[in-house]
This record gives sequence, structure tokens and C-alpha cells, in this order.
Amino acid sequence: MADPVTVEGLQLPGRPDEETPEPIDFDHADLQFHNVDHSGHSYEVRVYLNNPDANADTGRDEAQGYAGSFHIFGHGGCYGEEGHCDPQRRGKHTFDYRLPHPLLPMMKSVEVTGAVKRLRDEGAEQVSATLVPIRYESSAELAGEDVKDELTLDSVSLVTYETSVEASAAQAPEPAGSRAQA
Amino acid sequence: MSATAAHQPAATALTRPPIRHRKNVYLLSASQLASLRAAFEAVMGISDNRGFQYFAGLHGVPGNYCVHHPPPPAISLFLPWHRAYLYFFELALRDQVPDATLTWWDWSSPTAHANGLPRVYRVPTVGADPNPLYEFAIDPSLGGPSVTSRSPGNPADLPTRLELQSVMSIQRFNRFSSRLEDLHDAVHGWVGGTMGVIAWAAYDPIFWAHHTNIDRLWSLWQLDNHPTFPPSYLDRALPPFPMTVRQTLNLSQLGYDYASATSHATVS
Repeated sequence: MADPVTVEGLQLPGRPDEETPEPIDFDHADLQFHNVDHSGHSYEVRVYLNNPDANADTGRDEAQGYAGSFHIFGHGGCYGEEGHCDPQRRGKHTFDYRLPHPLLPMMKSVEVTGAVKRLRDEGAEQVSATLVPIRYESSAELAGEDVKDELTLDSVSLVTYETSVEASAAQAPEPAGSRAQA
Repeated sequence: MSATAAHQPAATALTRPPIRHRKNVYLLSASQLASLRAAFEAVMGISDNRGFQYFAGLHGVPGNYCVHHPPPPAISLFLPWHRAYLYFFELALRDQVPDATLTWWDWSSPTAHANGLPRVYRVPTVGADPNPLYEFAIDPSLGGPSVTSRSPGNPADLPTRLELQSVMSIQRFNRFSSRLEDLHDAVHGWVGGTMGVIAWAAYDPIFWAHHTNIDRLWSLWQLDNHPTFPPSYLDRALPPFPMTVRQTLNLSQLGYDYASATSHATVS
């Protein structure tokens, strides 16, 4: 079974400034996983916050720091000749209308809005993310012997958003009737 | 309009090809299911570029054309490419059985969460005959498994309606596409076996019902969301298909729509 991967030092956003009339806060938070390899096995990848000891037997509940999961639909190994599955072996050309190389590493994300707000409100300033890969065993049997059972990625980002455009009570324009009276 | 055209008999209008409807696998009539099976059986018996082996091989081995999660900042081609893929495969089915259409499997439905894979894909035989929706014998020269296999998980572990609703509420295209693709990835893994790896997934007949559902969900999302794409994306070709992204965006231009169930009768 592939080993879990832990990334430390993800900075949590600050708490809203309660002294301002309309404190600014995010309403959406994503963990983004960069350059995830998908050339080999397929996995469910469970994401735990502040639980570096998480493993395949860890429960999927808030108490364990479980934040969600993403899935890797793996290629199952290379069935071409030498170099076929290496994106770096494809030439770089100014005019190139080919589709992107299928083996380019990918970006995946998991929404963690509730978990991040809870940790932030509990006073945490940083968070770790532990990724626990659960391999799909029935599909793994089909992969070549040279396929490694490991989760490989470059980095993780925590990105928060303000997606709501609803006007607050303080910002809402006055009703036309009120304006007419003025 | 010319005088000739204006005086054409009314029957001419009826020759216009009707929009075909892709229907819910759980609600197919006996004749619709028979057409689906007959079409799959027919294309599975053809070894040239009209056949199932050819189309399945475009996705993974040996074609390797499918596009999945792109690295940013690229706009995802996952949905347009697979729409083109379904479109041309459906034409191949209809070349063999003219009234056949693809069918969709809603894996978030209560029925799926109770029973897992649809029964019509689970049974090895239909009467005394092999069920073409059950499995497919892969060309052994490709060096992979000789026949498709499945090892489905617990039906309760399929993506839920709640998860799906969360994805469908996303308004930005790339974000929507990425999240929908992740649910799609989860279903591939849930089915397991050949469906669980890109190399062999499309050889399993259930692949097509799964992807038709993904296409249906995108079409539902399109009813409420109208993203503006740059021309460089819209004019992007979707090899090996003679189609651009722009040509995939309007279902009516492709001649199909989604329905729960349909019936049809002619005036006697």
C-alpha cells in the first residue's frame, strides 16, 4: 500500500476583523494538489488536516481531521515503446495543435471550507495536510509490474475565495422610495 | 423562399431527422433495450474502424487520445472531448441499428445506491445468448487483459446526490469540470477492474453509460450557465474526431437530447 504524504505549513487565513462593520471573510476554501502523477495505479486519496498519523484505517470523520477525498484515474502503466509515456520526450514547438500529452501531471482539488473555518476559529494559524492513498486493488492487478505503488505530487495550496456578491444590509442601495423622499 | 419550396408537400417536413433522446438505463422499454443490445453486439463483431474495438481503443490503449485533468491554466477539454467521443460512437451504433441510442446510468440515484451496477449490465446472458453489455474480449495483440472485468464496491459508496448537487452549483466552468471529473474518477474506481484504469476502461460496455451520464450532467449545467470561452479554446480540434470544442457546445446541433424515457407512435 502506498505511503501517506504529509505537507506541513499551510497558512490559515486570519479571522475577520470584528471591529469593522462588515468583516471580510472567505466563503469557500479549496486545497489544491499540484502536479499529481496519474501514470500508474488508480487511488482514492483521503485528505486529513492536522493528523499526520492518518492512514488507511483512520476514520473519515471530523474528529480525525478528515476533510474530503479526491480520486486518481490512473493510466495503469505504459503500453507504448520507450519514451511513449514521458511528456518531456515530446518536442516543444511554436505551432503545435496537438492535444496536451496525456501523461502531464494534473491538478486536483478538494473543498475544505468548513474544516478550514473550524480550525481557524479554534485559533490555529497553520495546518498540515496528510494524503492517504487507497489503491483500487482490482484495477491494480491489471497494471504492469514496473508500476510503482506510490502517490507523487509537487505541492499543496490552500486557496480561499469570496464568491458571494450579495449586498449586505449596510451596502444595499436605498429603496427608490426612500431616495425620492430625500 | 422559392415558389417550389413553398409548395412542397407537408410530408417533406417530416423527413427532417428528429432529435434523438438518450434515455435513463433504468427506464428503457424492452424494445429500446433490445436495440441497445443489438447495436453493441453488432459493433462488437466488427474489427475495422466502425467497430467497438476501434472506438474503445481510442480512449486508452492503443490510441491514448482521451483528455483528463489538465494542468492549469489550461481550460479543460475533458467534457468536450468525451462529448465528441460519445457522438461518433453513437453514430457507429446507429449505423448498425438505426433506432439505437446511448443510455445513461445515474450512479447517484437511489436505485444505484441500492443495487450498484444496472442489472442490464450485470447479467452475463440474455436468455441463451451472451449479454453484450456485460463484457468484451479485448484484442490480445495489445498486451493487456483478454477480457474486461469488474469488481464493484459497496453501492453506498457511489457519489451521492448531495455531492452531485454541490458540483452542479459551481458556476465557473473549469472548476465545475474538474469537480465533475473527480466524481467521474470515483465511479471508475468504484466499478474497478478494467474500468479502473484509463488504459482499458472504454472496453467495458458500462463505460459508455457512465460517460453518457457525465455528458447529461454537463448538458444540465449548460442550461443555467453560459461561460464565455476564448476563440483559441472554441476552435480547438478534438482529435481524432473532426470536431472542435465549439461544435460540441450545442446539443441540438448534434441532434440529440436527454430524456428520462420516451415513447413514439405514428399516425395510422
